[in-house]
Order: sequence, then C-alpha cells, then structure tokens
Amino acid sequence: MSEDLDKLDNLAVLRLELMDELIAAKKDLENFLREGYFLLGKSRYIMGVNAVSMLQVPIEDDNISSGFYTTVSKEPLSEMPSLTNHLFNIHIREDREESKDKVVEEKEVSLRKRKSESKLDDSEKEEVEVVKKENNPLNWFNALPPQSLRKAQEYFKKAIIKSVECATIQSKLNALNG
Amino acid sequence: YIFLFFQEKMLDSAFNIDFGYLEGICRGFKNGILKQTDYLNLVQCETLDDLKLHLQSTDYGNFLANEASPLQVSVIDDKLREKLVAEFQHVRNHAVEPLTLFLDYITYGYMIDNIVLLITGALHQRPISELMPKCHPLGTFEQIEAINVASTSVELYNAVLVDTPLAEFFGECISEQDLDELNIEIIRNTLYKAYLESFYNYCQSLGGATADVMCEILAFEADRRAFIITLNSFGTELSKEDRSKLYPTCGKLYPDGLAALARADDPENVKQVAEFYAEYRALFEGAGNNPGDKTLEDKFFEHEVKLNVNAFLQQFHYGVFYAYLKLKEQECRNIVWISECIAQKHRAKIDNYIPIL
Repeated sequence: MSEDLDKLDNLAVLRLELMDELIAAKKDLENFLREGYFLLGKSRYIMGVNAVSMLQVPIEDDNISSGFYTTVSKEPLSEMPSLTNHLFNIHIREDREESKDKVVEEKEVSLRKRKSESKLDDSEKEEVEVVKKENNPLNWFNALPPQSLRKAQEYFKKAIIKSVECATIQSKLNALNG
Repeated sequence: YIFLFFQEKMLDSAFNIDFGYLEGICRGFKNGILKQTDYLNLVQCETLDDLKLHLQSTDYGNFLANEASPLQVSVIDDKLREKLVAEFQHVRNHAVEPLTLFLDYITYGYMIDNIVLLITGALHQRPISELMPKCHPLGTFEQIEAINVASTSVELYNAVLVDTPLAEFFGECISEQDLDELNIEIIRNTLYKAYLESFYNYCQSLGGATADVMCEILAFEADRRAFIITLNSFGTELSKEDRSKLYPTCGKLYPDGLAALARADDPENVKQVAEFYAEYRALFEGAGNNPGDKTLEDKFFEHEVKLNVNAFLQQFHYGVFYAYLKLKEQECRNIVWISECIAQKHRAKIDNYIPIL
C-alpha cells in the first residue's frame, strides 16, 4: 500500500518538475524571440526601414529549403520506464553537412599537394565560407550584414531549438496524463 | 565686371543675393527639429496613438491624421519622410546654380539606394508595383522602372543608368556576371565611393565656408564607410582585394589607414587602425558589443550629428542644406526607433535615440 502511495507521490513530483521545466523553456523561447525581433528593429535603425522588410524575402519557394529538420522517436520516460513519450530531435539539414564533407576532402588533398602555406589558408577559409553561403537567409537583406542582423539570426535559431525542447517536455507531460 | 568678381569670390554679402531666402528658410526649418523635451514626452508614450498625439504639438502637426489605426511603424516612417521631402523640394525648386548642382549631388546618394532596392527586389521576384512605393522620393529618375529588366550589370548600365547622372560613377563595376547579392552589394559600394569622391571634389572646388564644412563631413562619411565595410565583411565571401576597392579615398584614412584596413582580419585589427586617428580612437573606445554598451554604429551616428550641428555655426554656405537634411533623417530614425520600442513593448533601450539639439 505504501509503495503505491510512494508511486503516487513520485508521479506528482515528476509532474510538477516537468511543468516547471516547460514554463522555463517557454519563457526562454519568448525571450529569444523578443531579442530577435528587437535586434531586427535595431538593424532597421541602421540600414533603413525598407532594407529589412518583406520586400527582401523571396516569393518563389523553389530555392528555399529549411536549414533544420526534426525527427521523432519514441523513448521510455526516464523516471517511469513503463510509459513512453515522443522524443523530438533537431538536426541540421543533411545536404549542408554533405557539402562540408566535400570541402574537407579538398582540404586534405591540398594538404598533400602542399605548395605554399597561403594555399592552405585559402582552402580553410573555403570550408567556412561554403557552409555559410548556401541558403543563408541573412544574405537576402545585405551581402555585408551588420552585427545586429547576425545576432538576430542567432537568436531566432536558438528559438527554433528551444521550441523543439518544449515539444519534448510537452509530450512527456502528456505521457504522464495517459 | 565687378559683379562677376563678387560672384567668383562668393563674398558673404553676395551670397544673400541668390541664396539668402533659402538659407533663411533652412534655418527656420532647423528650429523645428525636435528638442530633448519633445523626446522625453515621446519616450513616455504607451502606444503608437499616444505618440501620434504628442507629435501633433510639434512641427509635424497632423501628418498622421489620415492614417488608419492601428498605426504601423513603417507608415510612420513613410509619413515622416514625406514631410522632409516636401521641404527639400521647396528649396530645390527655388535654387539657382551652383546650389542646384549641390542639391542634385545630395540626391544621387538616394538614387543609388533606390537602384539597389529595385534590383534586390527583382532578384527575389517581387513585382515592380510593390517596390516603387518603397523607393526614396528624393532618388527617383525617369528610367527607374526599367531596372527590373536588367540581370547583369552590363544590361543595367546600358539600359538604365547611361542616361542618368550616375553614369559617370559606374566606372569599373561593369561585368558580365549575373547580379547576385554579393555583386549587388559591390555595385552599391563602388557607386557610392565614386559618388562620394566626386561630391568631395566638387565641394572643394566651391571653396570658402562650403568647402570647410562639407569636406569635413564627407571625409568622415568616407572613413565611416571604410570601417563599416571592413567590419561587416568578416565572415562573408568578400575577398580583401575586392574589399579594398570599395574604400572611398576622400577621408582622413587615405592612404595609410585604408591600406591597413585592407589587411585587417578581425575587429581587433580594425580597432588598432583607428588608434592612429584621435577622433576615431575615441569612437571605438566608447563602443562595444556587450548589452548596455553603445554600438559602433551608434557612436558614428552621434559624431555625424555633432558635425552637422556645427555646420550651422557658419553662415553663407551651402553646407546648411546638407546638414539640415541629415539632421532630419536622424530625427526620423529616432522617432522610428522609439516607435519600434513602443510597438514591441521592449522599453529597455528606448533611450538609445541620439538627441540633436
């Protein structure tokens, strides 16, 4: 009997903890979004209101692919293995990683062919730059973006990752309900 | 003959023959620029409608009267600009040479911005009807709508720019490459560099107080562009040689500072270059990227405001027209900044506007 009571206590505590986590995660999400929009406003201050607006966003969707994708898997709830919840994971889009591998190969080749140090520096830079060029929405607004715009993009990326965390915690809570 | 002699030397007393009315009206406009007390009122507004109410008691009057509520920040920005444009057009319509050329030079900068806006919009498949209202009214020219036909810079030059005053600034940036974001940015900065240098030389040729005032302002503009281009190019595909071709040479940094900037690899290097120049060292020292610091762009804006306010200390020169325009633009930026803070309910940095008078 007392075992059952203990179990109930544990469940209740677990539920409260998860709710706490969810609220904290949502607060973080809200903060990241707020900071992101604020920095967008700051970029408008520097670049002009019409330079950071919907006019710079492409209409056709063909060339746009998202930089992140999510996968879902089931996993047992850590504290209560009898229940399962959905685990949401976020990954950087694969073709970006592929291109990163390709350029790393080139770098190795040039290492072997090593003629001068400057060549090595160039191909190192290439690696960083190729990854950044593809589909970077930052470049829609200005090929030389100011710091505030770059920081805004970082905040929005953090917001995306945080929203996935929220989804995981939410599904854990749902599992407890069932 | 004596009259021609006066004209050449541009004696103070001869200035008023042609330009006395215009300078007077410009100074009158300048007195309408918002003061610190006005800004204190604006900062305390809770909503954009409050802001509209407070602006009614300033020189702006009922400029937002016909706008549908809820007000948007972009609408406020457009309306603020309309008023400024009307004032500028009035002065331009009443001007005679050489002031007309001086005022036209000022508009070339806006033309360059409009061209870049239209090309970027065309690159992103935006229809021209959506883009035209967003162009700066001071920078329109006849063939402007033909821009979205161009897909390389050669086409752009031959179809559109060759008949405009911007043709002489195009110079080296013609190439067969397709216009992508980086090329567009390079074109923008190359055009602007040629324009700035041409404007600087023209002001020098005018001599007298105009040269004194304008050359200092334009030299600072050139140096500021060199710093900002360098700082923003870290982490992009712009190579160092390409970058160094974008630096205007009419500033204090030419030639040693620009050469050092061309070699810079990170923001620390840029700061070291600024160490050699007293005013720029002070600007870099006050700035930082931590929350609570002023950003470098803010310090540059502040310095620009200081130079423009000082332009009004001398009389009988054309610099007052340029300075007035730039000060009003800063005022627009301030009001838009306060509006954004109010609209986003993010009041922490609402005091980051730059007080002018």
